[in-house]
Amino acid sequence: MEAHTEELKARQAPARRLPDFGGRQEKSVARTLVAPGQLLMAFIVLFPAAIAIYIGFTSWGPTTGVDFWHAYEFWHWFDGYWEALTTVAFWEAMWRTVLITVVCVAVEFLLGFGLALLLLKNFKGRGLVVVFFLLPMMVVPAVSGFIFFMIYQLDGPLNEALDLLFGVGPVNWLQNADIAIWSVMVVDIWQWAPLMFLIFLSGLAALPEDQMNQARILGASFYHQLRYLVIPMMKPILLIALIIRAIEAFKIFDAIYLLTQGGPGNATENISLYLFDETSANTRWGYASSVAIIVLILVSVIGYWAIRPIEQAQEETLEELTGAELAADVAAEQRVEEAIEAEARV
Amino acid sequence: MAAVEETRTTFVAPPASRTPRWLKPTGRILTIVLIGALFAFPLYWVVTMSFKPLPEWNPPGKVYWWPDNPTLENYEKILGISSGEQSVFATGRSRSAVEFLVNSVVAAIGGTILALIVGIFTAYGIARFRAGGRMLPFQILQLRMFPPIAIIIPLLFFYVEIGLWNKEYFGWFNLGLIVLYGAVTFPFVVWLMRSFFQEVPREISEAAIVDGCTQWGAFFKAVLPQVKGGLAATALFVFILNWSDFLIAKVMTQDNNSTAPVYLQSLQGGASGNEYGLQAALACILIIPPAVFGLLIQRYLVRGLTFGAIKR
Amino acid sequence: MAQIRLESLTKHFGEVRAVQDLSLIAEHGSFIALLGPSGCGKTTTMNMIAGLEKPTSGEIYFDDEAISRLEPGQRNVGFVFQNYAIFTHMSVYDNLAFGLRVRKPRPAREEVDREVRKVAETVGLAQALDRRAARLSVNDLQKVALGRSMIVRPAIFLLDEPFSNLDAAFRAYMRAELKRIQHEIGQTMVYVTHDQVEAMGMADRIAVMSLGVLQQYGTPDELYNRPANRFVANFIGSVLMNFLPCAYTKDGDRALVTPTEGESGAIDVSDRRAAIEGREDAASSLTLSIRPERVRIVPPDSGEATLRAKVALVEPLGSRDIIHLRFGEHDLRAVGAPGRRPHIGDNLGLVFDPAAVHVFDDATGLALR
Repeated sequence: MEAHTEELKARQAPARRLPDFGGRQEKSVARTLVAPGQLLMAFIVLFPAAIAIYIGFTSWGPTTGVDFWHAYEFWHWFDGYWEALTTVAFWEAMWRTVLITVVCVAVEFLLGFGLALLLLKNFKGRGLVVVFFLLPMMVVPAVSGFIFFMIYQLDGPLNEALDLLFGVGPVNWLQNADIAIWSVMVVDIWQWAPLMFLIFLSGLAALPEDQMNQARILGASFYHQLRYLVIPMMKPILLIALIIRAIEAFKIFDAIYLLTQGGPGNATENISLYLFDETSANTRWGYASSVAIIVLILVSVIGYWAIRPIEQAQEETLEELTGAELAADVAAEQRVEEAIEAEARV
Repeated sequence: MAAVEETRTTFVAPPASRTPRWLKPTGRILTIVLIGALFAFPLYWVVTMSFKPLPEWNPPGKVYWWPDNPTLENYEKILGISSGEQSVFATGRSRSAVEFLVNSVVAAIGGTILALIVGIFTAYGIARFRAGGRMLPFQILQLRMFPPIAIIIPLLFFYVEIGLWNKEYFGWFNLGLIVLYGAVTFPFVVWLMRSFFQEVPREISEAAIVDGCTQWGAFFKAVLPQVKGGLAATALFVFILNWSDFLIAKVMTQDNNSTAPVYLQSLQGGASGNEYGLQAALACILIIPPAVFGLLIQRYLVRGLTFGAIKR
Repeated sequence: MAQIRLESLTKHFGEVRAVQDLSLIAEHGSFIALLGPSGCGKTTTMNMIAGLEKPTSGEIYFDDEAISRLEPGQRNVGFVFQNYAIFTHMSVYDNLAFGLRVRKPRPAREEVDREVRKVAETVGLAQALDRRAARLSVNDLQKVALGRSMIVRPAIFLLDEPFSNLDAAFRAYMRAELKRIQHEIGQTMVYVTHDQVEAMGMADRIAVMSLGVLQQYGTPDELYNRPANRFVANFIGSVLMNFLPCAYTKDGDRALVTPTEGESGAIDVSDRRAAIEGREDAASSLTLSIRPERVRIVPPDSGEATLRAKVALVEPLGSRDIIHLRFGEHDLRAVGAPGRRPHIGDNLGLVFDPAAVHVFDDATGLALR
């Protein structure tokens, strides 16, 4: 025993510098830790933004015959921006982007929530069903575009099924300009409603059981429980799910490209496809840069406002976690007490 | 007065509150089965399609709900095992996707490694030292909001200029793609790993430092082993994201330097018409890794896709 | 107000038999405690009464109406959960008003307001109505939970260990308070607890349960003075009961029990002779038992003394002392007045008054009387 303490003392003895928690050394470690990340962020945000701002003021492109460094020869100030803001195709693409985002997120939200309610109560094989709904999320978006491309064919299974079940004539899902945009949305909904479902399922499962039971005992109907308890309690989760899905839906590209390439005409062209077309098909790189800058500014503004709920939820989950831990501690203590008491009595 | 009825002397049951029919047992099962079938059908279709011979792909006026003459031919062609000379669309060129799959694997793994290396340190810095200020995590998150195309266009000019565009070193190492993949998935690593690091008590690294480790030693020897599981999940998750990319590869590569999803798209339409069976076989191959990994990290999937905001 | 009648109520969770063949009646306006150690099935019983669990078999009647098929919301019961199940995202006011607002048809705003204020007054929350429930102290949460159930005027009030989270002082206060409220509203109350002091102090009748089986159902006095079996004897009473193995002998007309180990006198149990002789297995051993409070202390040389024991420890409690004694291989307890506190090592004479002695059949655990 004594030898052990001696040994301990001996180990502590060398007058090493004390670790300075929170001191200067720590700060330098912290800076070193995040530096590569900040560099990468600069490469993926500031650097392209700088290029885009520069090129956005020119009408330069690969067909102009000069290289990147001489793009200034085609300087035209805000003409590119002006063109974008006065082009119908740009505004139509914006409008479609918003439409796709709103419709997809709304349907995914409702579908996901409904599914979560359906699967909330445990039953045999629930785990399997949950796994099953995971699969669409795992499909490569381009692949899901391809799959629906097959399904939507005029002679494809969807039209055949409609004919067999309802006797409805074949619908031109991808070639009809009025229908195509909805066909495109279905793909995103198929792929991402499961995410909403998963988020809500874990949210619903975490609802405090006693409070839900209390509401039932007080006679609250299903709708009352939803309105007064489930939705208010899940508000942070619902918000996060909505925001994250909206961010992703705003950016859809792969599935649309494989389904319609923006067509027919430009009936399914959202902002991503519009940018892609201007870049690769029309090779108007100067103009594409102007549009990209407009989109970046727009997204930054919206993003600043949209990210706050996530920030709050982060803090709240932390708070909740500590709260839950406290409750668990109290419960554990109680159990121990009870056990001791029970033992004492027997 | 409904609220203040006088105390009753005997018990009278009030009317039942109603649960919607679709949530009652029978309706519930039926609804689940119906929605499940709808959600399953696309996958069913692509899997069965991959086993159908050419005449059953999409003949006019007839739909083959099930492969009448199942065949492995599609997979053989896609994997370059047989060249399949009997195709009516045969243009003499090989349909093998092996090269593209190799490109996909290399780019996805390379991007994952880059994102992990950079992201882990950033995440630890943020979680442990609040490095870079309170807003850094949100700046990183905001990065995810930009449509990738808006960022890739300027980088395309840059890549073209420095000769990185469509460039494969050794015929398989696409540095440009790897850097982009790493940069684009880096926010996920930061947010996920941050949430894992936050669960490691500070005392663990402090104890290691008191025992004589440096900050770095404490990180590698004490903290990192604590988040092994989370690290593996993050790696798989980020791999899935990179593997799923289409847009970046579409813009940044061409021809034989593309990845498999881009090749899948190139098989569509064009002179030879749609090659559903071949495409479906490739699609199935593309689905397998994310599906397997996704099921492996099921527990962390929601956390990953919500940037760690929703745990469980 | 309603009478509750449980008939052969049984609940199995897979292999686990949580409640077995439970039958009892709680009269109109009475205060019933379900008492037992954790895992005895008391909470399951409550959940079945409230409708949160469906019984495996058996039936529950409220005023002769079978209700086990009804939804919880149809049963007109109030339930106070152990953790209070407060809706933390709402204000105190909204918590109290909840039960009224979910009614169909929804009562008018003024009506809700009046009721909420009235109930808040009763439970002592009138000043806290606007506060967020998440910010309340545990003591106030308790009041909210009570008030929220009261406001719907339930025919039956169910309370699941409502005081276990409170500090000792407030617990004593709430005990008195709850009794007052119960008296005021005159509702049938069922109260689950593992604390026998709480049960004894509050309930009109107590159902003692163990391992899902009802051990005894009776008034606190009955449980204390005439425990039906060894488990109840052990569980009830704040000082652990004394148990001594004993032998049964007959001496003419008299029936006697004598502790088998150590030197002691016999105790006359002639009044229980029939029960003892008629026990299930006539060869089974017996245990005699007496509450420490009923043990009379006399000088060691007194002829009255049933046996003599040595003082091992004295626990002074202020109003009385608990004296731990050693008798042969056995520990005994007695309660003494503080005025005459013995010293450790003293020999004391103990008198076991036959009327206070219980005889238990070791084979069945049942009291023989």
